[in-house]
Amino acid sequence: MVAALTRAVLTLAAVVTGVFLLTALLPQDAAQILAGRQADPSRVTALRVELGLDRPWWARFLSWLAGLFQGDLGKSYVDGRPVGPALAERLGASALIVVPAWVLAVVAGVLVALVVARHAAGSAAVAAFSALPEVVLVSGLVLAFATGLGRLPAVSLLPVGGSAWDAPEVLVLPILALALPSAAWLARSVRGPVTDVLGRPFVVDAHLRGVSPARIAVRHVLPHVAGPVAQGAAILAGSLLAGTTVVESLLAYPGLGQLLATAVASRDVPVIQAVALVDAAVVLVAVLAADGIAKAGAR
Amino acid sequence: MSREFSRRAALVLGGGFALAACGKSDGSSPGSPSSGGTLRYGTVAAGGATAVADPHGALFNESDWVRMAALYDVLCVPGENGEVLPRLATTWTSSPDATRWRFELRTDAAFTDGRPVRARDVLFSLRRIASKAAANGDRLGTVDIGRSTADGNVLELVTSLPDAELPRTLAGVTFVVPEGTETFDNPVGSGPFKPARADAQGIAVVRNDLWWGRRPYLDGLEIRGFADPQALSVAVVSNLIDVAANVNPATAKTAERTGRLAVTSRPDALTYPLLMRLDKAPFDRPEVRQAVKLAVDRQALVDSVLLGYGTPGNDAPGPSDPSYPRDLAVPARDVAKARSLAGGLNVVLNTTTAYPGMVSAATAVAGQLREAGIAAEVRQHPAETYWTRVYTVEPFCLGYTTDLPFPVWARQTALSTAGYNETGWKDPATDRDFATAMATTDPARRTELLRGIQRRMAAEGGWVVWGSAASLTVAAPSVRGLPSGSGFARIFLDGVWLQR
Repeated sequence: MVAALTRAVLTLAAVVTGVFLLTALLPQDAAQILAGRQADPSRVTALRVELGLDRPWWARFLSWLAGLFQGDLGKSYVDGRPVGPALAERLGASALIVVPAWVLAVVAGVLVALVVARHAAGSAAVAAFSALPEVVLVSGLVLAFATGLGRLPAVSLLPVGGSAWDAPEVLVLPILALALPSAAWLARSVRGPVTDVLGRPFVVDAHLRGVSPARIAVRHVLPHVAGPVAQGAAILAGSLLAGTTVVESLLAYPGLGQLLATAVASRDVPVIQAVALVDAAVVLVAVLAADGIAKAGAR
Repeated sequence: MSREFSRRAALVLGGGFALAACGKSDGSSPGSPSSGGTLRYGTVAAGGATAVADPHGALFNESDWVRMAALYDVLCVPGENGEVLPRLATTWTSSPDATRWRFELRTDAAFTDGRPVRARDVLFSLRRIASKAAANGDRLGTVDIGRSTADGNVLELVTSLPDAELPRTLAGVTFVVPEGTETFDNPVGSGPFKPARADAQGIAVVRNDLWWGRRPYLDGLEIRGFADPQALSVAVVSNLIDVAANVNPATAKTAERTGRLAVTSRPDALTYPLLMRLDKAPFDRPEVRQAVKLAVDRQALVDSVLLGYGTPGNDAPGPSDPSYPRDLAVPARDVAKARSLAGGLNVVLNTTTAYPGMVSAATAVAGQLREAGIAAEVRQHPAETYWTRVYTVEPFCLGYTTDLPFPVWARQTALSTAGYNETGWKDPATDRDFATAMATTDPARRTELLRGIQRRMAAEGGWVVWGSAASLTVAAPSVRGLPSGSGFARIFLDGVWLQR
């Protein structure tokens, strides 16, 4: 347990260092972007000094780390405001679409796996679906539900200053856009175990006794695939939160993914680091949980 | 604003009479502006959707500019055709050499917390803007803030150089906060609106009944920034917002095709000039520059790149400025002459994906040059590196300019003293005429001097300003009175109303 925790902390440290280095390697820094498109070079230099970007990268990284240990995530280069509250607000907004999407993906993924277990064509369709680019999927959903049926808003604007509870309908498209590929992925990864269990004597026997397929699924199949399902669900929890960027940007939903995208665009390192920290922590916890489940299953 | 409105009203009224005369009036002629309603306004947040709170630092999101213009008052605002209209300042005069400016402020302006707006508050705000010059693109221009003073309702600004165009430089950007303000979580301004609610994506403001100006028609505004232009387009087409400002030509065309949305345009807002460096081969040879100017088909570029939302240009670099030489003819295409001047030449035209239209413009230009025997290859660069490593460096590039006042633009990039020089234009006559113009307080004479500079640049310079693009706004048909002036006039929404 201690070893696992140490590993997790080391991984986390590696991730935030890696993200910091990658951001430092990007062309242009926050000073250049803030100073504007055709800025006077002397102005850029002045701004760099102001933001502390004239120091070497390791000095900047160390002072960021030092702040982190005191619970201080730093201030945004763009608006000078503390990163913490903005992060919390965006994390909350993302949770509102990620958590339902996760539940939906797990339930739908298992159901689909049960249905397509014995159909090669069905599983090929699932595979194709899970490989669908998010841009195509979101456009398709908008076309079907917003433009076509006119039932849902085509972009997920929240009431200004309000929360998603005031307009729950805006959550539907982002949740679907996140859940569908995840469900397909889960269905693909548990299809093997399900097919395997369906071929076992006790299931065949139950079938011959005339037990209904639904009952077979619940009583005989699910308990035996609980391990792989839980493992897949844990991995999904991490990847869903870390993978909201495209969906949130296309649907104008103000979550963590969009914050990350805009922070990268403006090289706002303190914000990028904070989002990376949260994403990495969630993914790590998810992977640890998945590992734990796998070990428990093996015993 | 009022003049703009009456012109608009006259047009509409005229249209109404014409329709009535035809006997098929649809009854939609809007009489006088009606009050009430909340305008849902959206625009692209290019640099990121993060809303900036400080009105004096870097404001690279259009949504931030619009918000500041709603919450805070400014000294003066741009009107039509480069004129400057009073706002907090009622009148201004300068010393004969245009180095000392006296702004008289109105005495009936008050902040939302009840305190009066004094010249000290304005000076404090200008000082903050000056201290953040690196981040805000040197917004105050020539103002020497250390020597400027405030007394009662009189503000005296001293400039480091003669600057007869100072009010135009300041128009629309001098957001005034109460003296001593350093935090902006609960904004206190003296603008036409006051804050109601805010979040990461947008802000809602309501009418400020204490404002000194004509009572805004709208009850309030909701201002949102969109990280993705496609999402902005979808939002206005599906009626989730009333206005999508600064959209690209393709979005405007799509909106027009729906038949349910109106496209309004502010002409000459943007240019994508070809920049030929005078200090680099082959463009150091005048006949090569001449050949490029003759080889481009300007109308074709306006049609294909701007989808018709623009005007062909005559290579004078400031089409939105009153000093633009309108009488200078647009050069007619002459492929044969271009070929005889520079046929057989190989050039690389550099461009970037930074703004919509820059790649398609380069591709179309390259095709036209090839028709004149100039082998042009398009090289595309990412936006991140373009402005630092390609622009002002490579001999042949696509540029991008907004409708800044011509003197501001010239000071930035076309004088010998400019921090960077986009075409390597270093011309003693330009420097001299510019200095004379900036020390000339008579507007007609000054404009004439600046016009002379623009003419010379068009004839001998390295700019091919093949056309100017309109800034396009898509709006629901009920939205009236959107700003039509140039430059920062676009961010002031207190004259907008919703037709009932």
